[in-house]
Amino acid sequence: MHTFLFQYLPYIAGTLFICGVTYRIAAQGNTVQAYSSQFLSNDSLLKWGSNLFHVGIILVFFGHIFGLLAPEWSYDWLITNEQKRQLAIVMGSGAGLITLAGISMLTLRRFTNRNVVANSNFGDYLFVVIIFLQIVTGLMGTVETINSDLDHYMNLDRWAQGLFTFLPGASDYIADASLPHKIHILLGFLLVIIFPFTKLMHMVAIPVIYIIDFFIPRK
Amino acid sequence: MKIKSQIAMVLNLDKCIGCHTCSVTCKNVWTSRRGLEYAWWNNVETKPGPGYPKTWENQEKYRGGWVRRKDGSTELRLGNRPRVMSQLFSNPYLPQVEDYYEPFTFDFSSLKGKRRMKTPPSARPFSMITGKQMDKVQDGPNWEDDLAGTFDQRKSDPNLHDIDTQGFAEFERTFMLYVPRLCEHCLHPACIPSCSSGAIYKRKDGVVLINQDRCRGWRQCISACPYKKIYFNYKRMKSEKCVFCYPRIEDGQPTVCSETCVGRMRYLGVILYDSEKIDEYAAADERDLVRCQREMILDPNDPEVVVEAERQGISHNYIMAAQKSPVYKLMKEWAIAFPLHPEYRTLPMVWYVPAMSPKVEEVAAEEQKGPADAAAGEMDYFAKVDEMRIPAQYFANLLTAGDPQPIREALAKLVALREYMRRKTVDGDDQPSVPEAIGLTAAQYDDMYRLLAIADYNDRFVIPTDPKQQGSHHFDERTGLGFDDEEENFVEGCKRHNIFGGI
Repeated sequence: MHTFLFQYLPYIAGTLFICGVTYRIAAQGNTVQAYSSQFLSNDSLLKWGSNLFHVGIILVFFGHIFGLLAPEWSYDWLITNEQKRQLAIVMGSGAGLITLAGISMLTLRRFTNRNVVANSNFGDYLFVVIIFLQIVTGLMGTVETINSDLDHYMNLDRWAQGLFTFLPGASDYIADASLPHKIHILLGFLLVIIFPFTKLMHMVAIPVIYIIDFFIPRK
Repeated sequence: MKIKSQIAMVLNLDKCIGCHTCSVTCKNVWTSRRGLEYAWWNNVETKPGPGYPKTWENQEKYRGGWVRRKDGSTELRLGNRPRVMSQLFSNPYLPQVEDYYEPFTFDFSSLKGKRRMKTPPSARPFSMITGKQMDKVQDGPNWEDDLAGTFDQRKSDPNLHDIDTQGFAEFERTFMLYVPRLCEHCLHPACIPSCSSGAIYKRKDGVVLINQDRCRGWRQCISACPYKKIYFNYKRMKSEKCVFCYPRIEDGQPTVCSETCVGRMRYLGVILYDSEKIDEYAAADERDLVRCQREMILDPNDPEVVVEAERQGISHNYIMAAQKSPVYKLMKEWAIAFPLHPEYRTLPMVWYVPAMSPKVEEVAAEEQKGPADAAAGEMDYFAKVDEMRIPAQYFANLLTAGDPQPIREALAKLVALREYMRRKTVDGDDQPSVPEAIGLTAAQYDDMYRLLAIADYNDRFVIPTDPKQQGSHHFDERTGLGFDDEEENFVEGCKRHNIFGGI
């Protein structure tokens, strides 16, 4: 079971993600959009919640990319593994708390604002709850990292990089990982799987050209 | 010189009776869908008043239009691109549905129940946003209609900012006018650069459209449009706007709002303009904006312009239409029409002829004096304009960025036209003398009379047919064109639930 969840599921999720995103863009590209409920209620919960959440989640995203996927040779000339662990704890909990504050406000708004409630479907509710749980387990995992040794932390890296290098038995690295970490990972794969079929797809529509174009000098 | 063509509209406010036929027919054709119940692509508001959405002219609040930078170029009031991007998560200047009004419907089915009741049944309002019963309807798209409410409520009109409103609350001194509004299909639109997805575009004939497949719902255009004429469909979560009835325009027909205007106060026609001047004129000094916008419009009867336009590929029927264009006469030749809020620097293409508002008792007094008296001496037209009920400064704030002089000149022309026709038809003077101070010829007065007073259908609407579009039947696609309802067909749904078959 452990092998399935942490060795095979990642590849299944990745395949579904790539196929799903391709399908969504090709078949329903016009529905890849922000789905903002700001027009229904431009309240301070949204103003603060959305900004905090998005800024936090972007930091968290890049934190995960660097923390999990950067191979050792790419940073060992700058920081040691122990320093990287401390960096992960400080930055991770900081960004995590920002994101938690944001998603808390957005969850509260989703469940209490009468205009938003009336225009939400089951998926919208489920969605904020999944994200909320994901952030909570992520922060709990950070607490676990504080309370355990460097090897426990590095095993997460070895596992993640093992997956990317198709290392057989990579899942053995996190056999002893804490429960919050495991739940966090599984919820993460759940999000990856449902990504193409939800409003998470708005990430694909980030107007990159609009901003790049601005910095290209003219004439 | 880069010549382009534009279908422009002029609205003669003098003849608007505030019947809302334009709004209702527009709604029936284009916005009778879920998510747009609150949206009126064409709306008529009673001014002075906060308007729709509330205080839409207050750009400190909504950040619409352009501002002139120190170096003489223009920049979105919303900010530059990094600034716009930073507002994607939450746009602080976005109007919300309460700024328009909470759309409602009535439960008429409760009126025909079988149950015996002691009191007459009443249809209770239901919110179209929440689906729940509302205590009472507290707001609407034209809540100040015909001076409803107290003056204190209407005083929030930003156009009154530099006018002494002392006494306007009194019945004897109060004034009002109707302002029908729709998308201005600007030459220098603020919505287009604010769209980070590049979904908004201006067509060859000047119609500004939102590509519904490319709209990603980032909501910046709603703030950027100073006229608040881009509406957010809260069900489809995309922006939608007036399409200038382009399927009809392509067929050479007027827009629905123009076609159904019972006051016959809307004019549609082609103008040719020099698009190379847009950047320069959009950044002109505030007092010069109206003059610059008139200058940008080219004379379609000038042989040089015609040759150049044909060389640049403007089709022949467009040039022919431009030569007969009623809006060219109103906008440039007679200069009695003005752009709405030129200070937003969007170079709007829906212009307005200011309304006259003579005081009834003074007119009656003049009638008693008799026509002989009037004919004896040259009238002081400007004095008559200044006696009018609606302060010229109010029109100036609405139409000329605060300069009352062009408004006074236009109103004087309209007064002189009436005086001219009065002498001609009532006094039986075949060739009445033409006042020199006004600067129009007798032929022009006759022309003006024909266009403004008689206003024949074929004089009001001179629209060239798009050659590509002949033979198609757009009527069948009227509510479906480009807008896919993700839910069931709302019209069909209404037929089942509501005895009146609509919202």
